[in-house]
Amino acid sequence: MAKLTDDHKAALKRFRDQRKEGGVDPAEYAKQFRRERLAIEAALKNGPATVPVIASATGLSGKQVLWHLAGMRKYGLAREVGQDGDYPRYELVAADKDTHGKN
Amino acid sequence: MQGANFDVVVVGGGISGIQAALDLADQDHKVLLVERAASIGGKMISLSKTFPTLDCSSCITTPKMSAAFHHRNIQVWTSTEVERVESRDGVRKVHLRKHPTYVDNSLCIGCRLCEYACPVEYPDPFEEGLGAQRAIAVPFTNALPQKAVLNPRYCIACGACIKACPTDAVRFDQEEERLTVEAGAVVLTTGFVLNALELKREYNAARSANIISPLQLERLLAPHGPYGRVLRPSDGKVPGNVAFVLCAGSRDQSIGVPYCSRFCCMYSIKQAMLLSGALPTAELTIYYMDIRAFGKGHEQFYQNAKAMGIQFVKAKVASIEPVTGDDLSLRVELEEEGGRVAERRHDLVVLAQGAIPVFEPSKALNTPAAEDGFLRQPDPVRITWTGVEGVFAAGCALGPKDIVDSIVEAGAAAMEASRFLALRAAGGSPGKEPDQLTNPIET
Repeated sequence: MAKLTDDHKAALKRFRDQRKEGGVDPAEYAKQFRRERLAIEAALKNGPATVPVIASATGLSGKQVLWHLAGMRKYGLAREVGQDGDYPRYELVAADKDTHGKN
Repeated sequence: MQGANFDVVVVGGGISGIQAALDLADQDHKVLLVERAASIGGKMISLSKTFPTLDCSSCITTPKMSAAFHHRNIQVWTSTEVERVESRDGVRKVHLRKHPTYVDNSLCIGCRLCEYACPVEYPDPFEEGLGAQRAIAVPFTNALPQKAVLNPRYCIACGACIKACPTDAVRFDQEEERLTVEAGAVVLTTGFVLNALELKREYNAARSANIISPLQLERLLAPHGPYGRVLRPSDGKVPGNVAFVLCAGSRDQSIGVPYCSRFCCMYSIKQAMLLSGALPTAELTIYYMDIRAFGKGHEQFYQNAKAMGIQFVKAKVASIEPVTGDDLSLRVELEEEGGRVAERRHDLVVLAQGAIPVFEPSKALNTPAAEDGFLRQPDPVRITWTGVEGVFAAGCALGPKDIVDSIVEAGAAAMEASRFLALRAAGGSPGKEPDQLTNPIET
């Protein structure tokens, strides 16, 4: 893994400053994203669960939970395992240092 | 690159643009293919299957994308938007805006290590918002070019991508560029967009995640879709009773789209057929005004769908209301029962939105648009000519049409452009062709 050079740091700073001038600040979005993701991961620690079960455990909407699960499936962090009635169940995939899902 | 010169600039890297570029390049013309998205492929690369043959859509599109991308006579510029096309004194000038991708494409090897290191995800445009995409990512699996693109709206500038990149390709100091290229001819294949799902307020799409667009259903049906199977977006339930509402954004004066979008009947039938395979026990209903199955093999396709048990109900859907259990109640007037009004309950509804133009002819080409907003076709026997010297068009830039018709039209536009260049090279002045200037026929 490469280290950030002074040039990289200067470019990052300029990028942040320019974006701030344009009124774009994704920090709040990123924090919210992280909070939601951690809540879903915590809800899945006890074993596989359906979207409605995760939604009631986290207080998030079913739509938001399913969206996170789609991202977690894509990056190898969760997978579907069986079904409960009409609802598929999801479980966490154990973090493997060699998989691309490492975050 | 400023002042670069090409025989033809093709604007729009969807299936029409790719076909037109290939047909021109195979005749040894030097072609620039410009695409505003980060990958070529257009709408077709995101579709599950095509009608009426049920062929895999990406299996047809990917080789064509690859053939164009690697053709010795074609240069592909992605993340590049056309601002204006000028046709003056026998020269076409195309003014372009190249958006920063924050990645040096000459260094990026498409390894996706930046994507795996990025800590932020946002609604993936390729998955029509249903899936998640990291703030720096290769747009989709078979995107061309296979290069990462950073979305500055969601990037938190943490530098993780810089640290992960093995070739030091991430460039936070990249800026927008404005370029002008000259061309002998231009082919516009700018395609279409669907009008907003929320446009018909009585359908309440803003109040339910289970009222979806046909392009969202295409992604749900695709083998590598966002959920890996068909689920309804509100709660991840396997849907058991799906409704398709046709003419939900076209043939409707009240929303300013009086024309027919032409391909909705057939893709809805196709989607219902594919759903009956994915969800064998689901009830599938298509609410229609009339089925327009006008193309080759389309009527047989429609009859096959009916034989498969898909319900076709001739009815205009008056309103859609979200009800308990995230379901939807449709108020319909059943035409074959004397106009009786009924309430029908479904757990997923697909609205066949209208196809509207992207390109603004009056702003970008200094020529008026046709009545429907698409490009004009002033000559009924040379339908790919836009009325502007040396500027041709094909596909949905001229009006909604299916993939087969778009490809045929792209070939025709390429031929018109090629003929135009040949006449010019032979010393003739194609701008003064008698059938263009002395006998214009207005549609």
